[in-house]
Amino acid sequence: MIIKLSNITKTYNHSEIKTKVFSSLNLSIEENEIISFVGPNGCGKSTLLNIIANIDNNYDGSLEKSSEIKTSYMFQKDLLIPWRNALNNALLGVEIENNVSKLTKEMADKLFVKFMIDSKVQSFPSSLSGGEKKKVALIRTILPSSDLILLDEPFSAIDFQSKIMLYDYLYGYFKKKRKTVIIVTHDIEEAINLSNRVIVFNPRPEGICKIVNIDISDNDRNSVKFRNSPDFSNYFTQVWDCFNGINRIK
Amino acid sequence: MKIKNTILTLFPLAIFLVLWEFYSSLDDKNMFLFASPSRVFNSLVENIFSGLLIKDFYITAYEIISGFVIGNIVGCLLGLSLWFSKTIAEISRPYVIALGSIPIFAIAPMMIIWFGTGIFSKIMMVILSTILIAITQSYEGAKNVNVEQVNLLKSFGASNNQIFTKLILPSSLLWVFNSLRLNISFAILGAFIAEFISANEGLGYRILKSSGLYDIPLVIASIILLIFLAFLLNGMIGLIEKKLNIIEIYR
Repeated sequence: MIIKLSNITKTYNHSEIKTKVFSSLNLSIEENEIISFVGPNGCGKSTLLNIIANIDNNYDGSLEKSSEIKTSYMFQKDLLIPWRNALNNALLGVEIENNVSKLTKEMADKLFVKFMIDSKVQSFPSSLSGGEKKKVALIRTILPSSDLILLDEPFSAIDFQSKIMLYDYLYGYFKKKRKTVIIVTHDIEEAINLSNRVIVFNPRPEGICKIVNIDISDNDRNSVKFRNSPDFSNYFTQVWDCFNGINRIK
Repeated sequence: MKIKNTILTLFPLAIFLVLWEFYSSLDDKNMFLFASPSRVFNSLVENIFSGLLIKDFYITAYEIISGFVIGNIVGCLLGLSLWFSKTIAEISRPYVIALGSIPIFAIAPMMIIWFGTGIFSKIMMVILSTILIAITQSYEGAKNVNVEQVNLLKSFGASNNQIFTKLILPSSLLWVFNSLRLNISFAILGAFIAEFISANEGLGYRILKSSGLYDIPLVIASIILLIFLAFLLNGMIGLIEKKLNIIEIYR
């Protein structure tokens, strides 16, 4: 177990109006596991990610994390630094952990090629498209030697073809590097494609609706093939049922 | 296009000079009170070649540039370093406002008493005239850094020093350069007032002395050199800005 959330309750106080995001939320995340949070807008997916990243410490309940755990966080916005070119933006996390070496630079170059933005290495953010910025932010997040990777809507501006190719590459990359990954997404298919477990959220303030285990071997993870399999539509139905209000765990 | 813009920029000046020359030539009283562009030009050339204005210009430029550089560097370092402690920033805020509200003219006599009548007191006046703006502007710059970008660096486990060098310092540069531009006129004012109060050389002294002698052409010639100094500083800041690619990157 790398993270254990026990009885987490989060409430926002805006000018004396209290809004409960979720209450008594419990979840354990295992090492080297890829999980996705899916659910409607405002259900608390990103809030939970901020709690796990220790950015939001204003909550009730307890968060246990394995000691010395290193985290990389990809926020919803790309947050690229305007005076750094794409490569230097991608190397930011590695710089902070004082780990810039020939090897990491080669890895960054390789990722730029894999992400199909190798022609943009020297470009500044002002000349990159929304999708290209997201790709640079994604490289910046996965490049450091972090144990835990938090991705908040990582593929939101990326074109469909790139997404399908990136799902397969990233799944293999995370497994090979033994990363624990949490992905926040609105896209059920994306969640099923990339995860070992899909955590489905109900609208605010109900919290987790159900947890769907994606039991498929790593070898059968090819996105296109998987999407055409009966298993995939079965998983999709399980998640969708929750959105429709069926099988809700109260 | 550039030539056309230059002509358009110079056009109002040309009209003004022609009208001024014409008005002064109407009678001797006008010529005595307002001089004329041609007389100012003659006085400028004459006193530059005699070395008088060269020496004055050198002294004032030396006071302004050294005070400007020291005041801005120290002010910006102080302002940016306030980012490290919100408490110290809050405590120092009323003091900075209080000091900033004191007219520089009121302090000038004390500066002469404390630091003497030499060049040092003039440099100190320039430092005092520029340092507070540098502090407030650079602190504002540090404060206005994108909080989400700070959180991003924190999420990577960045130390305060890393956040400062990789984010706060570079992103405050736009504010720092704004403060530099603002401080040009304050630096000139500081040096001018100090020379006005006690000096025996420099453009401020020359203006005071020649106005006492009703030598209006020399007064205006000295003012033109002060304006030239302001353009020079502005140009230098522009060059550094261009070198650092500031405008392009922050676009």
